[in-house]
Amino acid sequence: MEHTPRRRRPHPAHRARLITGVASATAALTLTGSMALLAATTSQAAVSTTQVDTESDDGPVVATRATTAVTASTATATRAATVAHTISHGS
Amino acid sequence: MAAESSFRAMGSDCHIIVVGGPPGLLDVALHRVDDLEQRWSRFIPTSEVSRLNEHPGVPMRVSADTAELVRRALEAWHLSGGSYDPTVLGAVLRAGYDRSFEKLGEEPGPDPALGTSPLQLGAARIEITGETVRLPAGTGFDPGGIGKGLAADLVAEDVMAAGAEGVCVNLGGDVRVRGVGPADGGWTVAVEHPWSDEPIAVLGLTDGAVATSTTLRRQWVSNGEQRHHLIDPATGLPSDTDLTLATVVTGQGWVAEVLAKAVLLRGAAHPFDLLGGTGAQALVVDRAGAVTTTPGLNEFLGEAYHRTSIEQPRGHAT
Repeated sequence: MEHTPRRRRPHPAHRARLITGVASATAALTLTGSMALLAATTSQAAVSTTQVDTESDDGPVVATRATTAVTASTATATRAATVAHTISHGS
Repeated sequence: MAAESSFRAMGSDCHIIVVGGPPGLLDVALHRVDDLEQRWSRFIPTSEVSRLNEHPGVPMRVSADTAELVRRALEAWHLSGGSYDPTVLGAVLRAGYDRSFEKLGEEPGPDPALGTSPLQLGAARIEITGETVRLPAGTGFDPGGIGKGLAADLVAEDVMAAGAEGVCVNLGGDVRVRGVGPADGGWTVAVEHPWSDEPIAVLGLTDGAVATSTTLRRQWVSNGEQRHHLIDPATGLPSDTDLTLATVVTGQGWVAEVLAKAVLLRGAAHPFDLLGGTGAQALVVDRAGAVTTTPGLNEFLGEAYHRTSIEQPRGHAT
């Protein structure tokens, strides 16, 4: 059995606010100089449909099953400042 | 000028920053989050998702938001090759996740060995026409794994449409950013691992999404066994993946959230094989703390960094 150690840490939302506060105070120093756009791609990417064989398909014909592609637009990159606006901490 | 709020919603820590635009946009965002939670939470008996789950097999009229949730969930099922399945609810319940996460542990959950929920997988047979949804009989819909990411997309879209210059919507670590950040540049998102107070990576983007999935949060004890919320639809059991965390960067929040879970389930041997052609970038952390990234993630790092390893906490069994 795995145990996740309990660590005393600030509440994530509280930390995010603190970090953002720091970002506001130091924004001119940390962001203005480093946020030059890298002009990353913004193209649409087509992903072929994957058939899933985890179940029988003896039900009625489903309109959405006809989907042949899923699109996922890519993110646009900038250089990251060292001070974060927010935190992706996982769920 | 930026306005921001940190708050609890959707069983998670949330954080929204709005840059520019007319007064009141932050309130617009907060109300939108609440509205979507009221429609989508399976823990709110009056929600549209609860109504769908009460009436499997029956066509049910839902709001446009909920119809979009179901459509995106079906897209995500295809996109992930089944690693995400919106009808995994039965397995989630059998694992003991039968109430909001805050309430798990207040009283014993059901014995997973008894299989108290008879619900089965059935994404292929979900029917949706306009704003009418019919779940197959014997199935249930779980918005977990996509709801927060899609909600972040919808909230960000509304706030920008109302005149904001930029917005960051973070719902439980599923982050969607658009437009300019508070300092006229882009947005910077730190990625954290439960083992460390220091970020694994610091990512910069102007329009896109970052989502992180981990097996180290949302754990609970059910019948003496440590459980986590990440159910593998292929087995119907909490995943035994050898990764502890996956983060995905892509254009939309719902895609990022779905792919983060899918990458995590893939395991350390082939974590990124699902991402080809999606344009998504990712990083993963294995049980030993080693960090691996896709080559394209560097584009988002700029002069910031990502760590190559994380020290495992003392006494942690892998």
